[in-house]
Amino acid sequence: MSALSSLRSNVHQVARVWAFTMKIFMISDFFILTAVVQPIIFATIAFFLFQVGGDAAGEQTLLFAALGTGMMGVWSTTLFGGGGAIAWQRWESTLELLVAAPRRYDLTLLGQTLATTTFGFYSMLATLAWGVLLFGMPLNANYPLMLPLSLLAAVIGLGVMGMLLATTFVLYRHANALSNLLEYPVWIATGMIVPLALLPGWLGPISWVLVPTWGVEAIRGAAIGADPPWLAIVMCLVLALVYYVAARRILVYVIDKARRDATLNLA
Amino acid sequence: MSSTAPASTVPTSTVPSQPGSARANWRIFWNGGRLSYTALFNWAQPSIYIPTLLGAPTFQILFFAALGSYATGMDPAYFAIGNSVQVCSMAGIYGMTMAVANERWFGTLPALMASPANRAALFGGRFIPFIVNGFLVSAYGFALSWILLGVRFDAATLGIIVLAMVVTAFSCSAIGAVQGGLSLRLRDGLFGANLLVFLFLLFCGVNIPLEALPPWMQAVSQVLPFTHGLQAVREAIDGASLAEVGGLIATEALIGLAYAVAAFFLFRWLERSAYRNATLDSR
Amino acid sequence: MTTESIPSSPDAPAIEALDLVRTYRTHLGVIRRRSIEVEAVRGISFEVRAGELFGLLGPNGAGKTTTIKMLITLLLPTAGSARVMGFDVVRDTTEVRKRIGYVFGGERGLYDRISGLDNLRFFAELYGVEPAAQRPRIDELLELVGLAGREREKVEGYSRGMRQRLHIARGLLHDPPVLFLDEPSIGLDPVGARELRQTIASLVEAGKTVLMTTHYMFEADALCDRIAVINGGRIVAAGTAADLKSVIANRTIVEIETYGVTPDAVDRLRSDPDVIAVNTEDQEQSQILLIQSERGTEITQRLIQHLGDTRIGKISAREPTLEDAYVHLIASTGGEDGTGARAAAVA
Repeated sequence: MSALSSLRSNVHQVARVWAFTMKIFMISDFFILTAVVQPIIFATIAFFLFQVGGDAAGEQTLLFAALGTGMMGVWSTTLFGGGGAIAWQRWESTLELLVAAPRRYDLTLLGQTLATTTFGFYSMLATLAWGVLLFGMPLNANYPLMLPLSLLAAVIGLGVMGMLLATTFVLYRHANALSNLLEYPVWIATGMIVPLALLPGWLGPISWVLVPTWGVEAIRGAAIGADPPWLAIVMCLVLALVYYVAARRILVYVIDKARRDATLNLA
Repeated sequence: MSSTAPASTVPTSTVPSQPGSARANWRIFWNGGRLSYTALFNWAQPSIYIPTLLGAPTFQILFFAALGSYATGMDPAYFAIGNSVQVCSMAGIYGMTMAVANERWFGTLPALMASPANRAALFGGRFIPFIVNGFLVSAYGFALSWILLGVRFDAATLGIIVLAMVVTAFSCSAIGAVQGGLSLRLRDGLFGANLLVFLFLLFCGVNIPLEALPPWMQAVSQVLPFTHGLQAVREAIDGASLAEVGGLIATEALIGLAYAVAAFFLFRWLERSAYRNATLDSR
Repeated sequence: MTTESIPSSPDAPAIEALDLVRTYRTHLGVIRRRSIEVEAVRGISFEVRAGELFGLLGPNGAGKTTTIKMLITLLLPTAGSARVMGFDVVRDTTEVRKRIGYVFGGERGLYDRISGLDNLRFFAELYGVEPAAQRPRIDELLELVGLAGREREKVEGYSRGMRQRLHIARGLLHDPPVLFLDEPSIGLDPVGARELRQTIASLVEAGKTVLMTTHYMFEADALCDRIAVINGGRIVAAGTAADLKSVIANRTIVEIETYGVTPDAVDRLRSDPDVIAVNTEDQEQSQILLIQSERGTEITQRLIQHLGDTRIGKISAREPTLEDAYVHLIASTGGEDGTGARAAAVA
C-alpha cells in the first residue's frame, strides 16, 4: 500500500469512528450535563459577575464571557469524555475488542476523542445562544472568515489532547479522580476567562504548552481580537502534532502493560 | 480456595436480639452509619479522596477568586469565603447521592427493607459521616483561603465559623439526601447531584452577591442551604458577634431540618411505593 | 427478651398463604403505550407446619419468587392474605421481619467494598442482635458456612460460591424460626452444595421451619417434607414427594439417547398407542428422549423401530422420579415456558 493511500485509509478510519461516536453522544445524559447545562450555568455566573463589575465595554465583555465559558465546557467534555475514554472502554469490556481488531487502535481512539471534543463545542453554541437570548448579547466577529479555521484548529488540538489524556489517565487506577482534579486548574492556567496577563508570571510558560490556551485564543481572536489569530491557529496544530506523537508512544506502553498484566478487561 | 469443613451440627443457641429497642436503634445510627459510609462512599480511599475532595476544591477556590475579582473588582477574599463554604457540597451532595445509588447498584435495598430496623435510625445514621466530611473539606478551604488569599479572622470568629459550618454541612447533606431519594426514581443520580452543586455556585451569595441577583433568584436562595450559614460567616469575619449572627445560623439549621424531614418522608414513600409496585430491583 | 415463636395456637402453621394474588401493571410499546395487567400469582394457598421443610417448585416465571416476596414483606399482595408465625404479613410487617431470615443469593445483595465480616456486622445491627452476642454468633456462622478465615477479605473478591455462603450466614444471624431460601445451592460446587443440604437438614431438625425453592429435583426429593408445584401463578400439585410421584407411579420411563433426532421421529413415537408422553432434553451433542408408558408394557423394540435411521446411543428403562412427575405436571398445566400470565388489555 502506498504511503498516500495508507494515509487516506487512516484518515478514513478516524473519520468513520468520529461519526459513529458522535451519534452515541447525542443521547448521553452525561454529555448533556457537561456540554450544555454546566457551561450555561457558568456563563450565567460570569455574566452576572461582569454586570456587578459594571464594565464599560459591555458588549465585548459579554461575548468574551460567553466564549470563555463555552471553551470551559469544551475542556470539561474533553477531560471527562476524552480522558476517561480508555478507562470507560475497559469498564464496559469493549477495550479488548478494539485492541484485538485489525484496524489500528490509536486511530480508533483518536476518532473517539475528536468526536468527544467536537461534541464539546456544543458548549460554545449553548453559551452563545444563552447570552443572546437572556442577556441581549450581540454577536459579531472581527474576522469571520477565520472562525471556521479557528474552530477546526481548536477541535483538532483539543481532540488530540483528549487522546493524550486518555492514555495517561488509564495508568492511574482512578481516572475519574484525575478528571475531577484537572477541570478548574486548566481553566485558570489557559486564560479562558481570566486573562493570563493578570495571573502570576510563572503560569505563562505552562500556558503556552497547553493546547486550550491557543484554542481559546484562536476563537476569541477571530471574534473580538484586534489581529487575526494566525499564531494561535498554528500553535494549535503544532501542539496537536506533538501531543499525538507522545500519545502514541504512551499508548503502546499502556496496551503492552495491559496485555502483560491481563488488565485489558477488568473482569 | 481454602475453607474449613462446616460443623455438622447447627448451633442451637437462641441468639438474643431486640430489634426496635432504643439500644438497637442507637447502634444502627452510629455503627450502621459508619459501615454504610465505608461501604457506599466511592471516594473513601485516599487515592480518590485527595484529588477529588481536596484537590478539586483547592482549584475551585482559586478559580473563583481570580474570576470574581477580575470581573467585579471586589476583594478575592469575598469569593474565597463563599467557595470555602460551598465546597462542603462535595461530601454532602455527591456523597449522599452515591450512597443511595450504590445501594441500588449492589442490590442491597431488599435486604434493608426486609429487616426490622428502625427506619429513622437507619436514615439518620447516614448523615453523620457526611457532615463530618463536608465540614473537613470546608475547613481545608478556609485554611487555604487564609494562606493564599488573605482571609483573616480571630479566635472568637473561628468559633462562630465552626458552628456555622457544622450547621451548613448538615443542611447541605440534607438536601443531598433529598436529591439522592429523587435519583432513585429519576434515573441518573450524578446528573442531579452535579446540577445541584453548580446551582449552588450561582445562587446563595457564594459568588454573586445576593443583591445583584434578580428578585426571584434571591427568593430561591432564601430557601436553599448555604445562604444563611454563609451570610453568618461573612458577617462574623467582618466583626459581628455570635448574638448578631445567631439568628442566621438558626435559620440555616431549620432549613436543614426541613430538608432532612422531607428526605425522610421521601424515602418512606419510595419504600412504600416499592412495596406496592415492586420497583425495588430495577437498576 | 428473645424472639420466641408465638403462634396464635400451638398447632397453628408457621406459614399460611390464603388465596394470594399479585398483579402487576406494566406497559407495552413506546409510541402508543398500552397498559396491561400481568397476573404473576393467581390465587395461591398453602400451609407450612412448624418444623417442616417445604419445597416450592416451578419453572422460571411461574410466580415462586413473587410468592416468597409477599411472604417476606417485600411485596404487597393484590388480594388474599398470608401469615408468618401467626402475624399478618401486611398488618404486622415489623413482627414478621423479626422472625424471618431469607436467602436470595446471587451476585448482588452484598456490600462489595467492605469485608464479609463487616457485612455481617452491619446486618447484625439491623436485626438488633445484642452487641455481646454479635461476635460469637458471627464466628459460629462463619464456621458453619465454611468462610472462617476469609471473613476479613472484601466481598468484591469473593467467588460466587463464597457470596452464596455469606448470604446464608446473613440469613441466620438472628436465628430466626422461619427461613426462606431461594435456590440456595445455586452457584455452589457439588461438595459445597452437599454440605449446604446437610446444614439445611440440621436446621430443620433443630426445629426451624424452612421454605425453599429449587430447580434440582433430587434435592427437593431428598430434603423436603412436602412440596408444592407452581405453574402459571397457581399451585398445580401439592403433597409429599411420594404423593407427587404417584401421579405417574404406574409408569415406566424409557430413556433413549439419540444423535440428531428429527421432529418427525418424535411424532412417530408419540403416535404409538402405548406411549403416554415424550419429553426431550437437549444436551450438547445429543438429545435424551424420555418416553412414558404404562408399567409392564414392553415397547422398547417398537420405539427403536419408530426412530428408524436415527442414530441411537444408550437405552435404559427406569422408575419415574420426582423430576419426571414435575415435567409431567408442568407440561400438562401450561408448558415449560408458561408464565401463564393472562394479559388483559386495559385501555
